[in-house]
Amino acid sequence: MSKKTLTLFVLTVLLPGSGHLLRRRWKTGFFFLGLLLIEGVTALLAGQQGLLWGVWYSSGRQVVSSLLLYISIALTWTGALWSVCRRTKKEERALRGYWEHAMEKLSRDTKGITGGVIICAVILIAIFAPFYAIHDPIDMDFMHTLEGPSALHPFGTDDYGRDLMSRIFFGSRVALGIGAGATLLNMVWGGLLGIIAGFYRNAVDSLIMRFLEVIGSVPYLILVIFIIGIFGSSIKMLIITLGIFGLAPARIIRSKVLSIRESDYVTAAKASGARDFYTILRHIIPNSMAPLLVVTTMQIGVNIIIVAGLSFLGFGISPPTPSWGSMLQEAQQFIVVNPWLGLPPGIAIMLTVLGFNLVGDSLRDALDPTLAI
Amino acid sequence: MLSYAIRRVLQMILVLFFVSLLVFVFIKLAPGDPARLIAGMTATPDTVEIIRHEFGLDRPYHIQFARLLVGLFSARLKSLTYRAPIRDLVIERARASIELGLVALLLTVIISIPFGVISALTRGSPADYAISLLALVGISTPVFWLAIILMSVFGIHLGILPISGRGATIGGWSFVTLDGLRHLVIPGVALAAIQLALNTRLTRSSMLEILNQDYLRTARAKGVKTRVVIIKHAFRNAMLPVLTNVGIQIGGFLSGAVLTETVTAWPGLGRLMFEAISRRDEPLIIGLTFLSAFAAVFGYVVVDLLYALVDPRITYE
Repeated sequence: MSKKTLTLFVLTVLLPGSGHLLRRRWKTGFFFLGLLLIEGVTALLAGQQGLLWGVWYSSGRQVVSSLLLYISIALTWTGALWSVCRRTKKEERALRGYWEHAMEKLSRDTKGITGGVIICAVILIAIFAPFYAIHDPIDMDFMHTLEGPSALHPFGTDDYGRDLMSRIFFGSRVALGIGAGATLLNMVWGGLLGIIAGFYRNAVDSLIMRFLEVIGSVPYLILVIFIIGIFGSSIKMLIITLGIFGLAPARIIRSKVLSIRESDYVTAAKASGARDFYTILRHIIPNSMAPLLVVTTMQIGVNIIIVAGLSFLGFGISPPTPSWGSMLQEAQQFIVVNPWLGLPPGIAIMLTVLGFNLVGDSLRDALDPTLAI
Repeated sequence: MLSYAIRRVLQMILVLFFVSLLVFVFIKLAPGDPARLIAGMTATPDTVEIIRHEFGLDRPYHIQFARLLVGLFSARLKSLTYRAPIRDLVIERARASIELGLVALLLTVIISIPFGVISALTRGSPADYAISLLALVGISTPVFWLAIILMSVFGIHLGILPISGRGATIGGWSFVTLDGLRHLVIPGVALAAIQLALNTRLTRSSMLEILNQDYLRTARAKGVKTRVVIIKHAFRNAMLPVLTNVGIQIGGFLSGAVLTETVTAWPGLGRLMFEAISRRDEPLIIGLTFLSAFAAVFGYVVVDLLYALVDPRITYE
């Protein structure tokens, strides 16, 4: 180990990011420093509420948050150490492929970065909600109901005197959790249907397409309200329903697979005797990944809005669990008394969904500009 | 052409059959007893049995389904909670829904197409960025929140628009009176918002695609004026996918209005759907789901057929 490498190593151990700055890798350096700052503030807030060591004695909801905080701090250090020893960008340029190229394009797109920052912020809030929330989200206080913003309650309080900001913070867990869970199912199930339909054609294809047609002929929101309204709602039910019936990815993947199927490399694979399963795994899936990624990113936004809409109608998340949709429902009831109430949850939904749409848009530009979404 | 039309209509009927089957299966799979629900929690077992028999809920499933289909087409199916034929309920509410849908459609077409075209023609300019960002914000905004904001700003804060209901109507239409028109503004704008944003994006991308085509370059090269190229060559071709989308939206507006109509207390079909599901009114739910599926599928078929008429390149073999 040369002396220079040793200096970098020691610097990074002392303060992740400083080693990168020494080597003039400003972006990465400031990234790690910023990460450290956020984690520091989070730890400070957690410590102030006596929750930092929650993992050792408490069985409450802060356990996971504390654990994740430790893990993320550890990851910051290891990540910084790993990346400071790596080759610089210039040396690596020769090694770049499709995905690296797309990533580079993405990192220069203001739209994508803005969306990424919004999403990261929401994820951060969702994970560390117990640390950032000053009050308990379901603690009622009938002395202070329907108040406007104050130092104690930055976003005001609702009709039960619950702190709006804390409810927004905890509500992000519901929105992101269901949004991501349902979308993951959409991606796997819809992608699978699309790949099978596109690859095998004939009877299987027309069967799947007819199924999609039947499901698609009932407007999505009506279908989901119908199923949730009948079977009752729970978080699990919401994820399953949205996951199974959100079939927008299937059609797009199918049309992509249809074109991949006709390409020379698939013909070559077939000619050399590759099994269907191998061809799908090795050629079809990797090549249909780009549109799938774009569609899923946009789908998360759609799912978040649908969940909010369901909760708003009273078919979604049941009280007292804080969710943005049911907060808006309460806000509508008190629209005359306190019109301010509806602003924070609505902005939270809009910003989160906007974040995913921005990233989706930017992903499309980088990966597959011809995709019509 | 005729045989294609017939085939499409047959396909449509098949799809609708499966939709009603799907809906029926889901309702039967659901937990809980509808007869008990209608009778109320305090009813005696005898009353529940009478109601069960009255609505035919004690028959075998295939007979129930057959009766349902017959009821749907003979329009004799009765709502459980309203105790009135579904047809009457739908007709009563349909005017409000059609009116609202048309206002939203008008707003969508008038605003989105010019904005999309401007955005595409000035690609990369501040105007393009502004329109694109606005459209993206539009598809990210929940309609019910938009309605609440409009209600609190224009209805309560400024006090210039009514916040709910339909206002004065003549013959079931509210757009013919000034009061009714004022009531239409907030729900109309809220309902239009998302489709407006989607349509702007679609118009933009469709125009951009056409602008890159060879025949446009040829037209310019042979000296056709820019305005003529854009209007005659680009715009008309770019409108095809946009009109498809508008056609599909017509079906969507009828039912996609559940949230908008619920939030603004607009007495249309969307609100009826909400009430039906809250009260678990099986026949009404089925009837309305069927109606919205019918509207959507009908929209698809009409657009498909119009396509064949408008675009001579498309022939259906």
